Amino acid sequence: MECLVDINSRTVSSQVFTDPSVFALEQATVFSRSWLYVGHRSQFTRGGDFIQTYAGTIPLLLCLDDEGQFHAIANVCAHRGSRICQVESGHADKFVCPYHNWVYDNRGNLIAVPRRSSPGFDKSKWNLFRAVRVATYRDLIFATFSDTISLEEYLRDMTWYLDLVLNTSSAGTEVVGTHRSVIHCNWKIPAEQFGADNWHFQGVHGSMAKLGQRNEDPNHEESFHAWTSQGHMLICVAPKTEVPTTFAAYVNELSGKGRISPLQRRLLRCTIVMTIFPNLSIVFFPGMCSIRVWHPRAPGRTELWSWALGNKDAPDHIKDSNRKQVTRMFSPTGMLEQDDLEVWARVGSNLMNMPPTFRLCYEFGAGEESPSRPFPGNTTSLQSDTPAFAFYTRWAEMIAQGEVGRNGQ
Amino acid sequence: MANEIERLLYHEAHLLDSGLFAQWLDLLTTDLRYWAPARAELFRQEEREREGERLPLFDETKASLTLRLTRLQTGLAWAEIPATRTRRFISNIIADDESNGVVFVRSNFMLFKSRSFADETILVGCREDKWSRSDKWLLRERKILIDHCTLENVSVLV
Repeated sequence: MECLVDINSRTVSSQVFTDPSVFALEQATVFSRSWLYVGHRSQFTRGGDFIQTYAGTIPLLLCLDDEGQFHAIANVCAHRGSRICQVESGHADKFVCPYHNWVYDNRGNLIAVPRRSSPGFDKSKWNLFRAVRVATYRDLIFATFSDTISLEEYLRDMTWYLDLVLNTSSAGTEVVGTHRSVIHCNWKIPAEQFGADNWHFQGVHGSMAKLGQRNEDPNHEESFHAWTSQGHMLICVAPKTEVPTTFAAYVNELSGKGRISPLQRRLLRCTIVMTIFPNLSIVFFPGMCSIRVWHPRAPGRTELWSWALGNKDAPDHIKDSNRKQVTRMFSPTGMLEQDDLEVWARVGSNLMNMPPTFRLCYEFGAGEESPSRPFPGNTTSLQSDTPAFAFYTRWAEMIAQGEVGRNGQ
Repeated sequence: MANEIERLLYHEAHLLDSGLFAQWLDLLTTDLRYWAPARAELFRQEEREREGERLPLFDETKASLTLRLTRLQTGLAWAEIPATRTRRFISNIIADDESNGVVFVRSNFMLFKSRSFADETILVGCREDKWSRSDKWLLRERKILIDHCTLENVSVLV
């Protein structure tokens, strides 16, 4: 196998995006040891509610029990692996597998096997495969399948940025969805782009760039990339001028309540796009916000699930405008999404068709010194491969740790 | 009238398949509502009853559709460079009786798309339209029920 991520040449092997053994390895390492976004608090109203999603490739049920605890359990019967729950969301205090009618509670415990008993059969050995821990940050629900660091520690510097979209109102946020689309490339291509690629905007979205008002001056304090050692990435792009919109008036009103700092208020007039390692992204334009997960399905196939995200107590016209803009820009029919989906499909098939020695360039911006900025995390000017390379460096570290573990060292 | 409505829908399909977008826009009223609910993996009745609560796949006005089509003229809209070859088949047309100059029309569509040498997909669904007759037929409302829960890139209108 080629060196997957080469720190010296700042290159990434095409196998990172194409090789089935790399895909399996990253499930066993990157996905099993990260905190994965599995749902939003607003998708649940009472104990017994559940939603279906994926945790990496694992089909998942996220359930809220009667004590207010979330449980992330595989939607995979312990008996023969059948899918236990067929609908994407609903309310149930137990799940009956359609194959042989094994019955599980919403914590994933096997509670009954129908018709007859078997001497010595211990039900408690056959609970569903489930996450080790589930935790929330604001309204976002994460699960992990390992005994890793706490969610707060995992998110660390990114909470300051997450609060821009999650903590402007005491009522919290809500999601409306779900949009689902197929992306014909590896999940890391969109995850990287959403966290670290402002550059593509002028190219891929040339048709829309003309309409926007973006200030990409490399020395502009509010136009920058940020990233953390945990692999999280963020793009912030200042507007040329702040236009007095109804959303700006709404943000001013919220700022008065003191939940966000004046420094955070400055960024709420910008375009903000971030990826929380590994596969959760949020895109915010003033007045529009989409939250999305890049579900890995195969080396060259990803499913995007996305929702409009906004304050639960926002006025109706703010909610309505947010939803319309998410549909028009970032749905499977969206004017920005369409062009991304097209370009990603070409990247996906091209990488599959190149020799395994083919490597991608992440050298641009290396060694560059950019003005320091008063925002959390490492920062640099726009149009640099450095934050994206940090994502792959973190990814490669986790792959390497897994290999050490597998070899028993 | 059924025959007239059938010819109208075939004409509209021809305009979209041929990229005659300005002529297609001329078929829309200025207060057009054009929308497509997202589908969900739910029991049939629940899926229908709650479709308005979900985030639509299209939620358009004549102005936003004009923007979508104007975007394609910039030469920078990569989803449609070169333009997708489309062929749509409109069938199962049911037209209600005209009342106050408005006719409710339901039709099924099958839309074949081909691009980039060998990428071929089919988009299938149903449309519920309200057409109004003044000096010519104009579309004032279209609800598109797309029969896919997970979508391939939708860079075309239906």
